[in-house]
Amino acid sequence: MRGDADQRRPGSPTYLEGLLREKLLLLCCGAGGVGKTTAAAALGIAGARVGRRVVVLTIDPARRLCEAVGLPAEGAGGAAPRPLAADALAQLGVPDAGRLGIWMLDPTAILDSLVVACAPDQASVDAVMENRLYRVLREVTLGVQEFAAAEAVYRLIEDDTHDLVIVDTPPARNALDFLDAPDKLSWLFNRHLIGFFLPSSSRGFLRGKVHKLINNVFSRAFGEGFLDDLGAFLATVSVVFETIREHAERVKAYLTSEAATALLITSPEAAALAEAELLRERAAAMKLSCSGYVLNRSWAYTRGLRDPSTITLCPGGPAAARTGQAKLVELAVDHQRWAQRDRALLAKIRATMPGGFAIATPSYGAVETLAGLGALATHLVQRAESEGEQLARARKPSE
Amino acid sequence: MAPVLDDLLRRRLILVSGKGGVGKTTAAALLTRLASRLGRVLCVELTADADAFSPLSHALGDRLSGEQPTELAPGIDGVLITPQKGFLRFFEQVLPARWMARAALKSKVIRRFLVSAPAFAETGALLRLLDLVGRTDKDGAPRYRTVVVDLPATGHALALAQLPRMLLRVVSSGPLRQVGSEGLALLTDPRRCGAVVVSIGEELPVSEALELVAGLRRSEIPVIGVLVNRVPRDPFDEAERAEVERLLAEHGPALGGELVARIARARVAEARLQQPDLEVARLAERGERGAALSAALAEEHGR
Repeated sequence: MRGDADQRRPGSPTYLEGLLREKLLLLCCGAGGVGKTTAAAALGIAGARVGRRVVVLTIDPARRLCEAVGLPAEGAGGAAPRPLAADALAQLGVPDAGRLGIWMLDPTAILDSLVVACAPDQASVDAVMENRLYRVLREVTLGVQEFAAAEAVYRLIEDDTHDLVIVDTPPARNALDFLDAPDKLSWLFNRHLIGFFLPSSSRGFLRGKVHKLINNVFSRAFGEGFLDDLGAFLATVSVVFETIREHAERVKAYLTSEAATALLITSPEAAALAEAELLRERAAAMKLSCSGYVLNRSWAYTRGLRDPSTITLCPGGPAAARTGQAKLVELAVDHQRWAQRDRALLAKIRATMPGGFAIATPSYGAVETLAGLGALATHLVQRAESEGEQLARARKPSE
Repeated sequence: MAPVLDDLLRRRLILVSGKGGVGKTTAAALLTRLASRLGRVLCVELTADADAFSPLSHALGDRLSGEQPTELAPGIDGVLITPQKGFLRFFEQVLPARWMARAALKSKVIRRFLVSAPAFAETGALLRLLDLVGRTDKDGAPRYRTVVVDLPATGHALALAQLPRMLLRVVSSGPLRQVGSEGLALLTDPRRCGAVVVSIGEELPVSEALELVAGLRRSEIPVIGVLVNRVPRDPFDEAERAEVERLLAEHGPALGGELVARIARARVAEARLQQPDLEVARLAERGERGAALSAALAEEHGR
């Protein structure tokens, strides 16, 4: 990232730390089950440690994560982020200026609060809330999540009580939806479109024909009265939609600006790697910059681990100690093989990330405790270097 | 054969879900291969567009599924379900003329509305699923003995499970309401339908698996059990385990120790799945990948 990397001294910031200091939004993308939410939380801690006021938005319900950082999982959604308590921050080594909030996306709460914010009066609020389709929509939340995610990101970037937003996106195939949500919205909640579904007074010839077709198809397929319901629904909530659309446009512009960058999170599994690559192409097509790769759950680290065959057993100990040790040695051979595989994989990924970083995190198992997340944050910041930084470090082996 | 697999293979419709990354698709491929020994099988993937990557057909071999059922291997057809196709088939059935169905989906307004309005895309997928399950040969016999569906991950799968009931509430009359009834009848019929939740032996995936089981059962979908995937090989007997743990504690971190810890975590996680009304089967971790993996698993579990 910068030419002065070779002047880096021990303790000077790494590339990732630079991102945490400079960027306003980090988007964590990757396949499901690769540890995205955990990585997002650890990055949040790392951000707070450099003195920023951070909010981590998680799209998947992350009960365990909330418990780990001392937040009650029940009601962790709601309409605003929940701040970590001062003692949790202190335990994590966050300085006075640093803040960390966690926000679990609650599509229903977001939808409702938008209705209230957009409606001119209480009667209009009631009208929307009583609409049959709206009530089903807020209950089922099918397809609502992505729109709500865009709106939540909008609120976070507009709110100047935080200065770094970290977004944990839904699993891969849905993550693409999230990135697409603004475009989908601008189309779906377009006044012109809604016009087609409303009982009309004035319409041109062509538009009249389309309306007639819609009327014909919908009433036959979806039952008499459905189109009326839909029309009423669209009419009452069109203001809400319009607002979401405007906000989504702003989010899209923001995501593609200098302020934001994406990080790809993956595991060594072939399927996860393929999804990450797909997401990277998609991000590039959207002109969203991509700054790094985190290879989670890797076996790449073996330094400091002793060879179990060198352990001397007490003579006269149980037979199970000897056979157990022999089996441990077999497992050590497995670990060594996996370590080679994962290091090769990391090198390959790194080669595709010129200018960015690629980092492996160890396969600790569950790190969802306060101490575990803090350790992961330290690991990420210390090891996530750009190429230039690595070269510089290679020239100074003493570091 | 493990009781949970045997039990699943008695159903016409097998639903496979679980947390992302646990090997849902591998499990779906395994069930597809096992089912193909009993009769013709259709394996189904849900997708937004037909050009998307198709993991399930990759897990079965070199041939790719299309929007129409395509033969992937002897006795195995694969299909990608898109909402558009579901609505097209549905419109063809309910509108008085085929041209009207085609015109409806030719209209950009209608097409885009159907795929982008919340819940409509999923409705299209349900329509297509019912259409495919109901396929018959010329003699009236069902075309497929078994239909295996590789569902999306937890949250989305739960939302899909609620869909038929939602249709019944929103649509007061007409053919779409009938689709809701048919969908509900099929998905909640323990003789025809069975769901299986896939997990791995780690804490979070097991928690999510248990939540998914509870959620599917709230929607009255018969959940047969859980498949624990990638179970690590455990070489130790109890005496050895105790000795090795003591060794590692005394002599500090050693190579192989993290694998010992992983085996211990898997044991703890699996113990949490031991519950009444929930059958559990284990799929051992293996070195193969892709189609070779599901073939080896089918070999191992088909006996």
